[in-house]
Amino acid sequence: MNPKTVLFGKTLEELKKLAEELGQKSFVGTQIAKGLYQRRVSSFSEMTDLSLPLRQRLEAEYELGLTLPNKVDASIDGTKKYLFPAAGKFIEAAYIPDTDRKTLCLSSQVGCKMGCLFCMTAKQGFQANLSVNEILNQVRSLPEGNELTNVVYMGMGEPLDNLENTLKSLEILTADWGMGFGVQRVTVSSIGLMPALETFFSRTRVRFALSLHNPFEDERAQLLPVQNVHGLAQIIGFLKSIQDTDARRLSIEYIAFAGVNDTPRHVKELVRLLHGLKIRVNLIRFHPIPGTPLIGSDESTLVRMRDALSERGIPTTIRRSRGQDIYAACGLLSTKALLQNSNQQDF
Amino acid sequence: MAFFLRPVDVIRLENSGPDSWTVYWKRNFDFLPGQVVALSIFPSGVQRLYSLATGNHAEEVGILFNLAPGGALTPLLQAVRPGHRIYVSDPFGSFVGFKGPAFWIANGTGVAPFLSMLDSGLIEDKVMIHGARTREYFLGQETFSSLLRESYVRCASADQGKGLFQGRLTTYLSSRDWIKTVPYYLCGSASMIVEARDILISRGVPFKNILSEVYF
Ligand SMILES: Cc1cc2nc3c(=O)[nH]c(=O)nc-3n(C[C@H](O)[C@H](O)[C@H](O)COP(=O)(O)OP(=O)(O)OC[C@H]3O[C@@H](n4cnc5c(N)ncnc54)[C@H](O)[C@@H]3O)c2cc1C
Ligand code: SF4
Repeated sequence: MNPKTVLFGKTLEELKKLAEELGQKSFVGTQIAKGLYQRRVSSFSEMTDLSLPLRQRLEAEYELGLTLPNKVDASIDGTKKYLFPAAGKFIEAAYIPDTDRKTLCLSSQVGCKMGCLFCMTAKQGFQANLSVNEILNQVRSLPEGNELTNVVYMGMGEPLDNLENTLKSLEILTADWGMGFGVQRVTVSSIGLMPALETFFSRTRVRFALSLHNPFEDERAQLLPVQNVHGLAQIIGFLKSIQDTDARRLSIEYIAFAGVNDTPRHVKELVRLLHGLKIRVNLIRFHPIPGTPLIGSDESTLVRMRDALSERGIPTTIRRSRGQDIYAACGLLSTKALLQNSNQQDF
Repeated sequence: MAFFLRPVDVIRLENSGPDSWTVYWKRNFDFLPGQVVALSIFPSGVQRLYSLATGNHAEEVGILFNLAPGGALTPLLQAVRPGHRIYVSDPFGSFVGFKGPAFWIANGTGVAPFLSMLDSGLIEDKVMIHGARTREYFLGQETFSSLLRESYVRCASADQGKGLFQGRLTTYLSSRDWIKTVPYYLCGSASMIVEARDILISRGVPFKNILSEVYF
C-alpha cells in the first residue's frame, strides 16, 4: 500500500493544485490551508467547510502528518526541551517562555554538515534535511504551540543548507493564509552560506542573525570551517549592500570564548567590521560540550565586551541563559540517542 | 542568485576510482593549491563546489568528484565528454597549503586539495593520513605513495594487507602521539572531520593548529 500523502507542510500553491487535482475549485486549497494552519485541525473531519465527500476522500488518501514529541526535559525556569522523531532519527526543539514572549527554537536538519568546533550537533555529522512538514511540526505539535509568540531557527542544523524547505516553511509560518506569525517575530540564524543567503534575503522578510563568533577571518576558520569558503568579508559586504533597500532587523550571534574571541583586540576588529551596518550584537554564554577545548568567557569579560561595543554605537546585549539545568547544549539529547547506533565505516 | 561562472571546454574525463572521476579543462585562472571553484553543467544550472585537484602551474586544471546517485549535478558531470562545455567560477577559499611541515588528513574525495598541493610542489615535510573502506577507495594513492613514500599512511576500515593500517583513520589517530606545533589540514566529510579533530585535540594538538575543509 502506498503511504498517504502528507498535507501539513504544503504551501498554498501546492494545496490549490491539489484541490484542482481532486476536481475542486482552487479556493478549496485556501480552505484546506486555513484548516491546517489557522484552525489547527487534528483530523480532516474537523474541516467542516469542506463537503462531506471531500473530507472522506482526504481521510482515505491523505494524512495531516502531525507527530508528537516523544521526550521532554523541563527546566526549573520553565524552558522545555522536546525530542521529536524525524527522518528516522531525532531532533530537538526548545520552548523558552519569558514574561513578554514565548519562543520556540526549532531545528532545520537532523545533524549538520558544517562541523563547527563549539557545537554538539556537529558531532552527529549530517543525517538528513528536515522536510517542510518536519520543520513546522515542531511548531504545530509543541504542547505549548498555541501560546507561541516567536519562532527562531537556531536549533540543530544550518537552515540555509536546507534552503528550499526552510523558505517554504517560512512562507507558511508567516503567511496570512498560513500560521500568521509576523515577520518581525521570526528569526533565522545562519553561519552565512553564499549564495543561499542572497536567495534567503530576496525571498523572505523575516529577521536574520549571523553566527559570527570571531571577526578575524583566520581565527573564525578555526571555529567554523565554512569560513574557508564563505568568508566574512563577502557576507558582511552583502549585508551592507542591501541595507538601504531591506529594512529587516539584523543581528550578530557571538558566543564568547575565554581568551579566544573576547579580548579588546576582537572588540576593536568587530567594530571595524560592522562599521556602517545597522546591526545589534547578542553575546552568548558558552555551555561547554564534552571534549571541547573551549571555555566560556567569565561574566566580567562579557560585561566589558557589551559596554565597549555599546559605547562604540553597536547595541549589544548579553543573552540570558535559559534552561541551564537541562540545557548542556543544543544537540546533546539527540546526539546521545544517535551515537548509540553509529558505526561509520568509510574512513 | 549564484556564483558568476565562465564557460570552459572539457578536455577529458578520467576514471579515478570506484564511482570517482576527474574532469579536466584548460587552465583559465591562477589559483592557490587547496582552493575551490563553483561548477555547473549549464550556464544557470545547479552549482556545486569542488576543490581543484591539480597543480597550480599545470596547463590543465581538474576536479576530482564522486558520483552521488540521485544527485543534482554529479550524474550529469559524469556524462560529460571531451569538447562538452561546462561552467566554472573563479577559484576562491582559504584552505590553502604552504611550504613547511604539515599533516594532511582526508577521506573520500577530500584528498583533492592535497593532490593539488603535491602537484604544486608542496611535498617536503608533509605527512598524509588517508582513510577509506577498502584499498580500491584510496583515491590518488599512486600519487601519494610515489611522492610521500613512508609519509603516506592508508587506514582501511574494512580491509587488510600489506601497506595498510587495518582500522579506521580515527583508530590510527587515537593510537599515536601527535606533534603539537605543526598545522593539521583535515578535508572530507563532516563526520570524519569532527571525529578526527576531537581526537587530535584530546591528544594535545591546539585547535588553532587544525584547519578543516568540510565537503558539505
Ligand atoms: C568546500 C567544498 C568542496 C567540495 N569539494 C568536493 C570535491 O572536490 N569533490 C567532490 O566529489 N565533492 C566535493 N564537494 C561536494 C560537492 O559540492 C557536492 O555536494 C557533491 O558533488 C554532490 O553533488 P550532487 O549535486 O551530485 O548531489 P546532491 O544533489 O547535492 O545530493 C545527492 C544526494 O546525497 C545527499 N547528500 C548530499 N550531501 C551529503 C552529505 N554531506 N552527507 C550525506 N548525504 C549527502 C543528498 O541528500 C542527496 O540525496 C565539496 C563541497 C564543498 C562545500
Ligand atoms: S553551529 Fe549550527 S551550523 Fe555549526 S555545526 Fe552547529 S548546527 Fe551546524
